Order: sequence, then C-alpha cells, then structure tokens
Amino acid sequence: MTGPTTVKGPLLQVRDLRVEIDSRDGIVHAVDGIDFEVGRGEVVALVGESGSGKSMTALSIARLLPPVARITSGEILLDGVNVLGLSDHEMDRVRGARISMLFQQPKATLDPTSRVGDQVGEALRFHEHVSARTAWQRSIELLADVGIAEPTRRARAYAHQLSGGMAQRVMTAAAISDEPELLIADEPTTALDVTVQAQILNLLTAMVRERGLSMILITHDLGIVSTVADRVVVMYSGEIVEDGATRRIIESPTHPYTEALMRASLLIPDDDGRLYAIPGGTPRPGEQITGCRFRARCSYADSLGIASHCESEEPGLHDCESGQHHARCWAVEEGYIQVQPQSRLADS
Amino acid sequence: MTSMGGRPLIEVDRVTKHFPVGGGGFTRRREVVHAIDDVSLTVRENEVLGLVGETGSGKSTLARLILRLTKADSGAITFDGQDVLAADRGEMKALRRQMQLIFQDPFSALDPSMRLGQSIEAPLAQHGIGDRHSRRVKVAELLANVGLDAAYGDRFPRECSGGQLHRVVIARALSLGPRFLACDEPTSSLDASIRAQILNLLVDLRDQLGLTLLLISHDLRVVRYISDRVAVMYLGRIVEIGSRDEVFEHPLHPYTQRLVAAALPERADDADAPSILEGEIPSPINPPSGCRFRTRCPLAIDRCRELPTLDVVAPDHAVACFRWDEAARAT
Repeated sequence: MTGPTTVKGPLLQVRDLRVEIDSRDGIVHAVDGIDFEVGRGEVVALVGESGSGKSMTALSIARLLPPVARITSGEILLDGVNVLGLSDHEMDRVRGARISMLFQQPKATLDPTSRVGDQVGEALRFHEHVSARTAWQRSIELLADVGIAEPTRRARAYAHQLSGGMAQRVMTAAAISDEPELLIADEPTTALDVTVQAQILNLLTAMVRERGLSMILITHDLGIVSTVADRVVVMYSGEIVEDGATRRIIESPTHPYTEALMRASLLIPDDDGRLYAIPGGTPRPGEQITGCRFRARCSYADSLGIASHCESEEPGLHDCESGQHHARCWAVEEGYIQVQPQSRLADS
Repeated sequence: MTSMGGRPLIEVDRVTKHFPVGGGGFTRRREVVHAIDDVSLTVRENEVLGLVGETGSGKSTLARLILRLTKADSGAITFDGQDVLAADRGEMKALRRQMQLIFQDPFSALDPSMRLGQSIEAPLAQHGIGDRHSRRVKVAELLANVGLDAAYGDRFPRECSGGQLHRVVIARALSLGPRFLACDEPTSSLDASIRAQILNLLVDLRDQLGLTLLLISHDLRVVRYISDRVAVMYLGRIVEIGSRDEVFEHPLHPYTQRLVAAALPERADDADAPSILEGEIPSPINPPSGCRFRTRCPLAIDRCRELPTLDVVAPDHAVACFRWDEAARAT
C-alpha cells in the first residue's frame, strides 16, 4: 500500500454531491445532494432501483461521467483531497492507481483486439512505467491471484475466448493491478450465472480482506449485499433515504422504502399467493415533487395520519443512532416508527 | 398452484440439436456444439414449467426448438398431439398462433419507430384477423389485460419504462390468443418491485386465460415462486425434473443441490449445506462423456463415465445420477 498512513479519517468522503443530466425532458437532478463516507478497508453497498442515482454517484467519484452529465456542486475527498479539483492529467494518475472500477458487462469492457495479459498489465505500464516484459509477468501473477487456472496460457487469450465469469476475474485482476485503495464495483455480478456470482463475490471479498482495499458495491440486488458489505446506503430518486450497518438495514429496515424494497426482493408470496410489489413506480426523471419523494408509494403516511406533513415538507436525513444510522422519514423522526438500537439488534 | 395433473400439451421426445461451429475456409476441422442432447420432457396443460440452468445449458435452445424457430436434428415434438417438426407452412402458421415466445429485453423486442398499439396490432394484421376498427378494440383489451391504460397504445417505446414495455411485449404475445407462452428470462433485467409485478401478471394470465407457461430463468427464486414443476438442465441434458417442492426441498442431483444452495443463501446456514460450486460449466463443444457433471461433481466415481438415464425415483421426481441416493443422504 502506498497511501499515506498518517492521514486519519475515512478514505473517501462525498459531500453534498449534485449531478445534473441534460435529457429530452429537460434537466434531471440525477444525484441531488448526497453525503456518505467509506472507511479504510470498508465495503459500502450503494443500493437502489434504476434511476436512483447510484451509478451516477459511482461515475462521479471516478470522474467518468458521460458528456450529458455534470457535477454542479459538492466535494469528493480522497484522503482529504478533492478529486473534483484535480486537472484531467492529475485525475489520470488517480484512476487505476488509487481508484479502480469494475463494470457489469466484463466482456464489453475488455478490448476485443488486445490480449488479456496486455490489458491486465496496462495500468502498470502506464502508471509505474515498468517494461512490457515485467508487466506481462506481473499480469500472469495477478491472473493467478484472481483464481484463473493456467494463467500463462490465459494471458494470451482474447476477450471472446473467455466466459462471463472468467472475464470478470480478468477485469478484477486489471482493477487491482496497481494496488488501488478504492474499488468501485458497479453491478459486478448482475450479468453472471448464480453459481458464478457466488464465486465473484467471494473473490471480491477476499481481495478486500487480503489487500486492505475499500470497496463501493453498487447493486439493485439486496440479496448479495448481506454477504459482502459492512454498511449499506439506500438511494431513492437521487437522494439517500437510509444508511446504516448491513445487518441493521437487512434485518430491521427503518425507512418505509427500504422495508418495501427488501420485501419485494425476497420473492416470498403473501398468504394469498401473490408477490409483494411496491405500489406505483419511481418518480419520472425531472418530476417536481414537494415533500417526501416516496410519499406517493408509502402506506405509512396514510395509516399514521401524517400525510399532509409528508406532502408539504421534505424530511431531512434523521440521525437515528449517534451518527451510525440515518433515515429520511417524518414517521421515523417523529417517533411513529420505532428504531431498535443496534446493540439490541445484535442480541436478538 | 393448480392443476398439477393436467394432460400433456407439449411432448418433447428424445430431441437432439447440434450446431456446427468454425471450420469454414481452409481448415477442414468442424466442431459441434452439443446444444441439446437426447432431451425428453412433457409440459402439461395450464401448468408453469420452470426451466433452470446456467449459460450454455441449452435452455433457450430448447424453447426455440419447441416453437420451431430452430429445427431439431432428431427426435419428436408434438403440440396438443400435432407433430410440430412435420408441420407444413400452413399448419405451422396455425401452430404459431398457439405458441408464443417472450424475450428478455423489451427495448430490443419493440420497434422504436412504431407506436406501442401498432406493435401489438401487427401480429393480428399479419394473420388477417379482423378489420382495423376491431383490431383497435382488441389492442385496448390486450392493454387492459396486462394492466395498462388504453392511452399507452399511442405512445412510443422511448416514452415508457422498462416495466411498462415488458407489459406491452406480453400483450403482443397474447394478441393471437395463444395457449402456450415460452418466457425466456422475462424478469432478469428488471428491478425487484417491477419483477414482482410482472410475475404476478404472468400468474394472473395463466389463471384467467388458461395459459400454459414455460419459464426459463437462471434466477431460482423466480422459478421457485412461479413454477408447478421444475426441470434442471446442464450442458444440453436434463439432469433433474419434478414438482417444484420436490426439486427445491429435496434436490437429488448433486448439481441441483449446489444450484439451490447458491441461489438461496438463507439455506447456507445449515452446517451440512453443499459447498458452492467450483469452476465453470465446461464447453458444450466437447462435453465430458457419460454424466456431463462428473468433472465438477464431488461424488463422481468411475461409473459416472457411463451415461445415467433420467429415472423416476419418487412420485413426480426424476433424476439422472448414479449416486442420487448418496447425494440425498449427504444433505
């Protein structure tokens, strides 16, 4: 690890990040003022449905936003240094060397015309200026590290000769090649078979543990979160609606949206044999909403008789337990929804 | 779930499909992908048959063979007693009205330049059903069937969400009044909540319209929810088939056991749950001889170099494994 060890505090701090996208329907606030942190060696899962802003958040951190999107405010501090203030040239040195990304479609991300070994060694040649021969040797070692059998032979393969699982292992080898401090994995297992998903998640967990990496895991699948993440950040309509320790979010979700998402994810039928689906749909991009953004789909607002409050004023991110757990909900803030302390949760 | 003992609607009898690959140009060597090898199965009227397996197991090819979008090399396929493989042009056109296929990606399944109503109407026009007015009425009815307002007929695909387009694709598949719907990964591109809505819709349609469904998915949670019976494929062969509860509660094939353990991690807390599957599915170009799972199977013995047959070992439960009783004891 080359990161400065004298610096205290979290590895990554995202402060009031806002991202706008130009679309057919006008300007869309894809990310609308979010704050979160990633500690050293910590795995944070960023969870949400399509359009929640989770991928735009990830791309902002790596400064890989598409041309139609732009960051309008906020800070992204890596070891206290705002990456948004770096020049493009300086950012080139951060990307790959300190922040790496892993994407959903590994085979589409690999260059079809270049050998796997060359691609895995590319970051080393670019950042560390090692010789082609050294980079090639190093990529064979890395391929072995990520569990690829016959790495010497596989290094000479092209992307089309790999299965999806093997391609994701290769991408992982490339991502960790220059020993980054932060790995951002955007739906890394979504396109893979269930048995291969388990293998890749085990691999990523091992990489985090053995190399002291921090990881942001972006996913819409709450099922994979519990085995990998230390903390979970739930996004809805460009905002964070709940964050906390994984066990707390999975076993005892507090925000009505988190609870509904958990229930819908489990695919366990109700007594009448039907699956629970969250009523309605996510807000349309660019839709103007006053009050709570989840209000139209939330059953608590009506059953608790606080609908007028929910509709007139947007709740803030309420601190439920000494900074360890937050939820953006009036019913929580006003005590209608009781929040069990984490310690109680661990005993049960 | 209802009507477990329905009469057979589709019978697949010892069907094989191999695809030649490569070998064009100067090299003489032609290799063969064993996509489907000697597969037999029955889909019963009004049931949901779940078909699971990893990428390359042949599950999508099997659906295409049943609909004759790809022609089988050998074997027999019948739909309601009628020979699908021998059907001539006219007979095939009539058969197509009864069998429909829904694909995974609704965005690529719909013409972006056509209004959704036109897309739904197209099969009706193609088959010369009704006049323009009656077809319009039918389109509104189909949209209502899938829970969409008639106004969606005037929209373009880009104006809709993925979940809405999925409903439109289903409405189009229903336009000719099919009896059988094959759904290839119908929910894998969807968010959790939309996935639940689409699965509820498919169950409603089955009940209301008396449909028979073949649901292909690698998501075992989806299959467990929706299926009456489940078939498990591995490298072009069916390794296990049975009622949903038999296959999920008492999986007998070592492969099924590991698939279930990987997909339903809540069971992994059991100390003796099978370990996760190592390695990946071998290439279907040169599949292992005998039992195709033997190269990854912890219970494999010499005898597994021979080919196990799919034997009925319990009521509504068949497995192709020499060691299924050991496998059953191991869990």
